Amino acid sequence: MFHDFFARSPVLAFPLFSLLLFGAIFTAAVVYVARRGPALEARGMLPLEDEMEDEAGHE
Amino acid sequence: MSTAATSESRIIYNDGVARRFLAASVLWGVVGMLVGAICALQLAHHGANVAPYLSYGRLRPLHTNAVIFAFVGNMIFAGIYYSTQRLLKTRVASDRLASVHFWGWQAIIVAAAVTLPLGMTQGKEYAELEWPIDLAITLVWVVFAINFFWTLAIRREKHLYVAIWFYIATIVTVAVLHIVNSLAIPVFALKSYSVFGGAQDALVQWWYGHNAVAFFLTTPVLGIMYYYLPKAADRPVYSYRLSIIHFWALIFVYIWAGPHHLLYTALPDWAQTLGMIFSVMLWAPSWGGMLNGLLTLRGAWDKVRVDPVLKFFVAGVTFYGMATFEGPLLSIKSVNGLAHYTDWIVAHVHAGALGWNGFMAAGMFYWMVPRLYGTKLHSRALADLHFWIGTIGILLYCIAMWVSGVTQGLMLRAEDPNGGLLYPNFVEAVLAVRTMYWVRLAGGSMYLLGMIVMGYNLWKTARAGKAVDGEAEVAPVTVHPAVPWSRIALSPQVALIVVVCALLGALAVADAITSVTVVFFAAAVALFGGLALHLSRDASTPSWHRLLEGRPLLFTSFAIIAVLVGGVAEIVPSVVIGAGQTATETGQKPYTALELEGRDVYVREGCYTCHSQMIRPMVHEALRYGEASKMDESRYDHPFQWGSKRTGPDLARVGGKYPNLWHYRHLLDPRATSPGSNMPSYVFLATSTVDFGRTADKLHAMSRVGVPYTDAQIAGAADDARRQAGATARDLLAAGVDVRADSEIVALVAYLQRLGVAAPAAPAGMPVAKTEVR
Repeated sequence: MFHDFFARSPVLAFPLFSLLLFGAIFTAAVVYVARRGPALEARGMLPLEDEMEDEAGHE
Repeated sequence: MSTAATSESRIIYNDGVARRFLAASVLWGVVGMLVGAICALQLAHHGANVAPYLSYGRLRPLHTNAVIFAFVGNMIFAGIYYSTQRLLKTRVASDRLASVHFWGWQAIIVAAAVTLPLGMTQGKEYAELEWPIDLAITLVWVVFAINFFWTLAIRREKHLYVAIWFYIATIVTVAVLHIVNSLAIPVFALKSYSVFGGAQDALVQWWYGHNAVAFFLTTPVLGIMYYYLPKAADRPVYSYRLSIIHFWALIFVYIWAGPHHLLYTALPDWAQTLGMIFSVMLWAPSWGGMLNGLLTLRGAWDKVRVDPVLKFFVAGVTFYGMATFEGPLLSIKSVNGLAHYTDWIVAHVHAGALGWNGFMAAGMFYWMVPRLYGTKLHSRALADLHFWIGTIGILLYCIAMWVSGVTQGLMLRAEDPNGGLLYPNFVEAVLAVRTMYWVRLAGGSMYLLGMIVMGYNLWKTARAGKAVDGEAEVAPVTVHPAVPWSRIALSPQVALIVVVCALLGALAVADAITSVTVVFFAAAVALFGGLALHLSRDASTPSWHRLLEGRPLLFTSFAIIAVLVGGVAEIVPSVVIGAGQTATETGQKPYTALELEGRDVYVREGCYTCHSQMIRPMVHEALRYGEASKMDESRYDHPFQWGSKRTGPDLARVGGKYPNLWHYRHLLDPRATSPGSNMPSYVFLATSTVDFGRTADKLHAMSRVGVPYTDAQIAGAADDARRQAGATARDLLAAGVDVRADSEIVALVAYLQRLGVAAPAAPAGMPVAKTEVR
């Protein structure tokens, strides 16, 4: 069945190829994000270290 | 980095500018949404169109401009000024420029509020403002940009936080979008014609229109999310790495997606396909950003229960996720075929505007105002009330428009067993959704009420305190040896990106089979090249992106390149191809002088807000409207009038379909010819007159944008127009209607009779269909 399906047109492989490409890039991005570097994540602290009056407004 | 302080110093921030922008945002937000509620009422009940300058076609652009540029615009400026100073640990570079920015922006808003109801419009959605106001926008934006980048230059924090990246992308991209899309030839003080025409104008307009959503309503608000959400949750953003991917992927991909507004139109297929594919690709970065925002609340979800700021932020980010799921879905051609031109798109837009923009604004305001006035929020209960009536309002609005949109889409395409239209009268679909229009009004009014409650709560908070400017002790900046820009710009990372982009660029000339090989090869190069770079990196040295974060000029340059690639790839080919065509090749002829005057009336009254001029290549559209529209047919349309919503039927081939008398009666009282119609009456057009003294100037301006009018046609424009108007008036007189030949209704009828008719026999001729009045 698999062979018959793709025998109809070579471009039917495009969606499958696109899915594989998406999967590869998505996996690479997830692996990159999951590898948490302390130096990198420390830059995420910037908004929390910015001022003195910060305590005033929170109830 | 230009500043390298060596001793601790105290900074007093300029929070006055943030206070002013915030107050303006609340004020204009209420005004813009009130106008929106009036528009909703007008759609539900035509009698709410009480005066020419308050008709739906003129108020709808006022509503969209007020909400986008006045409400959200002032909100993002407030958020940017407040957060940028703190993230860069320096006061804004110039208080005077900040003040010019504020007052200049408010002057532009007032100018828009005056000119749009008066019908002074360029007729391009979200870019309606006429050329002097466009110039003012450019100048004020430049002032803002200078102040922002100047502040970057004197910063006391080496690294640019992710919020700053989004602000940079916003500033440079909005400048490019606004300038290119606003290119126009002035006719006189408040009248101009777009330099782009037809399909080119459509492509440029929706490149602008879509990216106004992207870079005015999304990227600055994402920057705000990355600053204020961690502040409110008191914990850092979930993943800084994810924010890097989020930023670069979003700004690169977003810019390509504009053509999804033009699926199944006469735009070339390749551009439509690019728009669809990149829209689907947007799912990933959009949801990456949404998840990064929501996961920032890890371990702090209990705060959401009691803190109204977090309530609004969580709901806002969730609406962002829903809207960015729905957007790519609507960009898939088969879905778009049903949804386009219907209220489904209206639901989508308002899920983003009310849910994402409105709730992020509310969360930010509730967080900022107590701090800006050194006090506590006046009433948490009122903030909670705002949240719940706002949420219910959005749901009522969106559900009503979803139901309405799907109903319209299904009814207008429904065929009977004999292959004809099941609902041949367009008004049947209008009547079917009338109830939903009332529900939409109820939902929108609830949201407006919430805005008023917020305004009261914030006003009482401000009154309870006094304006205070934030202060900070800035630690000495550690001066590192400067890394040469060439080491960043000419790094292996950049080389890898260039190689991959070059390979993908080859797709433009590759056949189907070769393109698969090319894509496969490019993907392999990207994955293995990235892996090799990662493994070869010295962990003791700063990463490439960290170095880039310390170089604002280089960072900005890379951001510009990332956003320009898509725009150039889509727009330049279409402009070049269009410029190469000649009138002889296309067979199209320009509008006559009177038709052009009528077209200006059509644009002025905002007819494009309810009527499209683009028949899609679908059986049901052909049955209802006629042959599918061709790209060539609108080549002399400056601006194009393809429209984006069908509250009324398509008009692309309405010319000759009815006699002049039908159009006259329909414009005076739409219900007389189309019972059940919700179109406003245009009685005043029968008495308002065309100034034929300006007609030659209009033809001359059109000739300057490429419409092939001869010198003789321009010189004789007024006489030609009067001659054709006289013939039309005599035809109406013969049918029993005595109307002034120089009235605007005669010009508009002449224009409508030309639509879909390739060319009249002679400029002075009168294309009249001698058929019975229906």
